Amino acid sequence: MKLGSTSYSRKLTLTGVFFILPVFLYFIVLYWYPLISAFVMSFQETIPGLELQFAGLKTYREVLADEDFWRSLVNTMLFAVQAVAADVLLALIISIALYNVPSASFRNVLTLLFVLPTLVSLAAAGFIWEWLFHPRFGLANQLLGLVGLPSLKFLQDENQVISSLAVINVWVRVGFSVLILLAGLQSIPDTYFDAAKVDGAKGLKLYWFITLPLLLPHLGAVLLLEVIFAVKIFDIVYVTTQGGPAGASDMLMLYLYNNAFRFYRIDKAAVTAVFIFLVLLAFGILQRRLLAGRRYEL
Amino acid sequence: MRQKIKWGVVLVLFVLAGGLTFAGGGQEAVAAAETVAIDFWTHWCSNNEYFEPFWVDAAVQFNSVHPEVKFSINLNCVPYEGYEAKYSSAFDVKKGPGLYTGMTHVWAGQFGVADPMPKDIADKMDEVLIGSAAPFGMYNGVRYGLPLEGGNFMMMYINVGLFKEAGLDPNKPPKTYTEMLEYAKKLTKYDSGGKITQAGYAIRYKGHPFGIADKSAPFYHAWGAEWLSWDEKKASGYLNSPEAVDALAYYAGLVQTAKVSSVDIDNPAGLFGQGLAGIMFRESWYEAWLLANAPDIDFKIYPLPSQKMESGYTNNFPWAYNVGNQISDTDKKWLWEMIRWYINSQDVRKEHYVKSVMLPAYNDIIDDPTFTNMKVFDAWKTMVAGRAAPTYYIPPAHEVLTIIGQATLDAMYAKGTPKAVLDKAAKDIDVILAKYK
Amino acid sequence: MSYRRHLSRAVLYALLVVGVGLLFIPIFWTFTTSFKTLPEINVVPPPIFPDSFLNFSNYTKVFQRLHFGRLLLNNFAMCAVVLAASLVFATMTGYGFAKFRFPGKEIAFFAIVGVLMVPFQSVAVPLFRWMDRLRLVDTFLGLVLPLMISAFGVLLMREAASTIPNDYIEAARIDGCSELRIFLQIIMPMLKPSIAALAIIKFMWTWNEFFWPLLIIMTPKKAVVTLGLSYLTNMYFREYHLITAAAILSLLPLFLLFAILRQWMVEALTGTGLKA
Repeated sequence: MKLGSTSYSRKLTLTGVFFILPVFLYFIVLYWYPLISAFVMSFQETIPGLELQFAGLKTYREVLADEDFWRSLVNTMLFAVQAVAADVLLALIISIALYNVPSASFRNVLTLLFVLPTLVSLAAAGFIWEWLFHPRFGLANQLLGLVGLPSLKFLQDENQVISSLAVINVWVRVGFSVLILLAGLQSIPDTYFDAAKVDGAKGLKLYWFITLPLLLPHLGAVLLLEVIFAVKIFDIVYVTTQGGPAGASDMLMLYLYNNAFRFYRIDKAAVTAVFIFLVLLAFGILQRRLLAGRRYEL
Repeated sequence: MRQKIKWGVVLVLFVLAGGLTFAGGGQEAVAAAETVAIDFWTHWCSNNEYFEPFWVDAAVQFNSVHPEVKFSINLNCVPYEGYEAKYSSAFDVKKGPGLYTGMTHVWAGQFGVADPMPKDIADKMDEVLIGSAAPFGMYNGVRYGLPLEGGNFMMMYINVGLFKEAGLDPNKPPKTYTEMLEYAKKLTKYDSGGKITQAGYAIRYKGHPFGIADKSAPFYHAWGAEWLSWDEKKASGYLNSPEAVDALAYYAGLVQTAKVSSVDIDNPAGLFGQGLAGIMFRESWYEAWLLANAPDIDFKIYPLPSQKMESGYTNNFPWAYNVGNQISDTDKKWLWEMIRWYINSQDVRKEHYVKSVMLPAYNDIIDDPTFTNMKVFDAWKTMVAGRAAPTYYIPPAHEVLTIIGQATLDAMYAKGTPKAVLDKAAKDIDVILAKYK
Repeated sequence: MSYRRHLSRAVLYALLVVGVGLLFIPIFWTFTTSFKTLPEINVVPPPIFPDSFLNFSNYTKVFQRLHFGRLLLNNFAMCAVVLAASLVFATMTGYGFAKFRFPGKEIAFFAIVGVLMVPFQSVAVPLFRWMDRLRLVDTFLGLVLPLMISAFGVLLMREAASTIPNDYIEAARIDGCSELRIFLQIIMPMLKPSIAALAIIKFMWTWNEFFWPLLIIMTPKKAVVTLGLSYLTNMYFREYHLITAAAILSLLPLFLLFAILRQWMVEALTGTGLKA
């Protein structure tokens, strides 16, 4: 078959479709019905008896007028920025460090150790850290005291709670990100490095011009995944602060959950879901434009 | 390659094992007698080791009295976290359980999935239910469910050691909230920076606003306020009445002006357990927790103080056993028959609560030494014989109490004056209640 | 080697060890708390070590009360199936999106990754309704089906596949290799590090799934580990001694699994696949 012919390119097209078809169908059949249900519910309102009736944009107006919604939105954004920045930076540093460990078995042991906290379920992580962060008896303040720093209130302080939650999130997530980035680093063919070294590049220059650009797809994936995870944060908050103190850690998902399952306002929950989706979609598009766009093809 | 085969075999074995677990446990073969198997869902398993499993035994006992039916109850312990989602998804597809623990005003009122009680059982309930349990299981004046507990409303716990240290007599608890404030002032200790290290009164400030509202309720009630009127479907005039504003001013004042309560140190349960709180309000179950977790704390339990009137007993979690209306009529008939038997057998009920060491919901069995020997008994008996505080078992209860809790928190954190926060909360609640007109 | 190389290497190791140490503190704290009795936990100030490391009462209580053995078995079965399906389909799909062009590609990709952007709680109840219609409630298939394929895996694999230079693929095509052979014998080996990463992540993530098993499982003996663990927190109080014991218990199988599979993972994680 000649490479330039149209039947060849058609075959390629069909192959591509064939490769993605199973998963595509899976999501359409299994998930898009629930997704559309959820979106449709945002245009309805719940009335006593838990029926839903069409209400146009009424529920949207109600949610947008709700102070608690805006508060949870702001809190979620603050949380996401801190958690994702810390996680991605740390994961990058750690994965590069691990990559440079010459002994493979030592590297693997260390990697597995970094990954260990991610084995803990989110609820358990919440409990563990709540205990650690206890203002009086937690290990955290005891350690701070050891180095002469003052005690903090962590999860119980309105100003510290979001950062404290971000710490917990980083602790749980960094292992995932390290794995992905390390895998990315290790899949960079040696040919690139050899060629660059021949050209005289070394040290930091090597990283900046060769490694990081080639790592961009994986970095982009990590960034997107971490943002999605951070914006959808729920379990940790649910198990520790429940949105406290006084709403300082109220997050979008908590707002959604309360409305869906405690207040039986599925309509408001659906609107919140739509917002979460739009926020993440916006970020996904942004990420695509800025990072994933630059892919190096040889 | 060998590795791959090995792991492939391991994988297949795991899947088989898991699959077999699921495959087994199908329907029982229909026996000669009528077979009724009731699914019982409850999230209370972790609260008390004996209380829920008892129903499985009770079914067996019931069987021996009614050999014409093969009646059994299958216990399914549901986690508390997310139980609302689990229940509602099952009811949504019309596969709800036959018996389940839940707040009746939600499942009967909001979802309409509870079967009303037959008249004779309801009448007997009215007869034997203790005051604090009487409104549980009811919605709109109709009885649906069996209350679980009779003792879980707030009472006053005092730390004997700290009282003595402060020169107070542990046998003379404060009778009014004004008195309590004076006691609390003597019981509070501060560090050099002015922060509270020992709370005079341990106030609840952490967690979901619903819980915050729940814990502050006695204060509003003692000042003679009510949160809302379900008949009129409004909160304005109630939640922001002068009495309510006074109550919140006192409550927030504990933190802000009198400085006998702290939003810094810990939640009441933990604080009191560590011997760092003089006075605390908690339900009856806390006694057992203290005895297990903090055996060194010497404590006494008293009825709540009064102000303009008694605080009264109140509980915002009216847990009841409800009968689901999605099961077959035969199943329903026999389940109610079993409940009828339970209600009419004083011994069975006594066994239930004695073995669980839980304060009973029935007044005809409260004299058992298991209960009279509890530290909480005298206070409990006094309060049960006293005022029944207002209850808010309405479909939007959760939403409403969350708003009230947030208002209370705002006042506690000085984000607004009591009048301002209550005015706003009342307005927000009016909007919600208006939907039910 | 120069002094500088030694120093930088020492710094590297020091940083890594400190990093691991810091990450480990919470686990250490959990571990020690799991051996404490109730009064020990409630003391001011809390001691770091328990009175006795041989106090296994919390562990036995958790194991018995929660029927932990059965929970573990169910969990493994769920994770194994989800993992197998995930790896195969995610890699296939990622490759398809990365290296092929076809109409509607962007929309299809969005249809898949878009699922990630919607909170699961919103989709859960309609999904449950769907499962009920398919008569899959309280079944193994019903449990694993929604978890089986992850948009996250597709995303990861697409990014990974995009780093494969097209030359190799073109060369194989010119040689007359079928697309399937190219996929199995060229692409998959080159994606080993990412596949391994996905495997670990997916296994761990599924291990800790809570919300979907909560809804779909109706029979107690079909429960999974997370459901069992949630019985330790009730509406009244938290039993920290039991919660910590349970957390360690649920970590252990994963840890053991990793210890056993370390050899395989060494291969996978370090395989670059592309030696000139």
